[in-house]
Amino acid sequence: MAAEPAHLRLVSAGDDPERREPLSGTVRRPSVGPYPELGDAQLVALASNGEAAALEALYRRHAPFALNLAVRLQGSAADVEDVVHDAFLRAHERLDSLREPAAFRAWLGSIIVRMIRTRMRRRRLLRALGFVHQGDAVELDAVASPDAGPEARALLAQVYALLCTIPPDDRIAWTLRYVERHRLETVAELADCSLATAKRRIQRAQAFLSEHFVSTIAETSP
Amino acid sequence: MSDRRSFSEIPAELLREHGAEERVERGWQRLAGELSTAPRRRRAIPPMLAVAAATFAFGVVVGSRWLPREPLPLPALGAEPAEAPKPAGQRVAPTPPSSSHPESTPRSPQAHRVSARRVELAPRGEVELAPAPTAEEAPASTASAAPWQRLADEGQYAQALVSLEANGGFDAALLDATADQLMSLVDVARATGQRQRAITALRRIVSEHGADPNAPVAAWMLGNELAKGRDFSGAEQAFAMYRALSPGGDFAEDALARQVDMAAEQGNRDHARRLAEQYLKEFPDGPRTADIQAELERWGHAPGTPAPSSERELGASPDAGLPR
Repeated sequence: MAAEPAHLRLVSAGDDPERREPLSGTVRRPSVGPYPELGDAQLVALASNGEAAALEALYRRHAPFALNLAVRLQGSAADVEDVVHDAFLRAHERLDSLREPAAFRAWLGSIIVRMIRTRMRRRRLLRALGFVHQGDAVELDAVASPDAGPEARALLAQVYALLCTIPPDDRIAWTLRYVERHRLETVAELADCSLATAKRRIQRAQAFLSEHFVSTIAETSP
Repeated sequence: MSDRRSFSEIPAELLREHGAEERVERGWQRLAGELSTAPRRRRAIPPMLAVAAATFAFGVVVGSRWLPREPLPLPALGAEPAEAPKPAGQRVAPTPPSSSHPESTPRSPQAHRVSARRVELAPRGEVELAPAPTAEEAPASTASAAPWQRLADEGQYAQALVSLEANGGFDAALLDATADQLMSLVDVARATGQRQRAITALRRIVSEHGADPNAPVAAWMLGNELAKGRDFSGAEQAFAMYRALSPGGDFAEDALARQVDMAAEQGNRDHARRLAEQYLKEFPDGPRTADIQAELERWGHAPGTPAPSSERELGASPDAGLPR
């Protein structure tokens, strides 16, 4: 049976508000670290006044989110702890300028996105100048769950290999939408662009993946 | 045998979690150690750093012009990928045959592993063909988009503004722009420091394209821009508009809290109190619940005290204060 061409179908993330934990709002935080009963707004205010325990609480609450975001955007765990470390340092330096303390998580996410984008662009520049000979390295083991089967690993490998070839902004927007599974509005906020721009970036990436995504299968007749 | 096959979004259970407690603990110890030796860095950027940043930015611009964007060939998959689509403004070199220049087309080890795998996450019956994009959804066409919009899409906002001014002007472009084009005009205006023009474009989206998907985020941005300009009344209305347009949106809770702030800034305590009570009712566990509760009690117990405007910072958004 001849293989029939099909198109990439990407599920809209905006249709189901329950599918993704919002970046701000009535999220119940895990009660780890000091001040488990305080919200981010209170912790930011305390940390801003030099309360180290409040900063620790913010770190312990949001570091897993930051690590996951950095690894999935980058497609590897290379230097990801440094990225998160620097992001928290930067956040700490600028806590006073955070005008909506309750939105600390989204703000931190935006910092991570900017740092990863800078790293991607720097890498492309170095490659263009001939200082490095390889593109972005994808570490499948950093992205895929240890429980993921071979098919799933193959899917992730190919998706990330293709993502490495598209512009960082498009790659980031698509990853935020379809890997991190944020709503379009949230993607726009995290990527610091308008909704229209976020949509265009996602659509460009989607069109590219749709065009180039290939699978080898042993066709069986139904 | 190979084909092009659909897949859905990446399910969360396929992704590795990196938030192990030990790793977080290590990270915190490192951060705490660094902060204890260098608490709170100064914000002033040393001149050398600024020069380095400018040099790097220049390098990025130069580099972006040289970068080929064709896809990495995946010969291990058994099929040559089709020619890459060419987004607006992209300079694409011809794709070299993978066999003639293997060093120029590095493949990740993962790409090899794909070859022998069957990639199909969703049952075939559930795979849907993607509908043809509607005119509204379709990416801006390189051929049909105005020059300013292509420049804006590429992030070249200053050049986009120059192009706009040379072709009838920014304000003329506002008149018959679609919602998407208006959002691009907002980007251009914000990036070039023209808040009033950004506000005009945002108002137009909210008032004339209320059903467009851009409208909620436009209302949110409008609220922020008006608050930055200290138009607290207008900002409050814009945040209310966001909630009306996107009641279940990610920023609905933030928007109501911002309404409380804006009403307090105006000194309209009765209105602020009503909004605060509404916030507590709708978001009893919200991140602002404790401080709004405290504000409410303070207003209630000390009616002569002024509205807490000095305690509010304006123009907040999830990306407020981001390093640029």
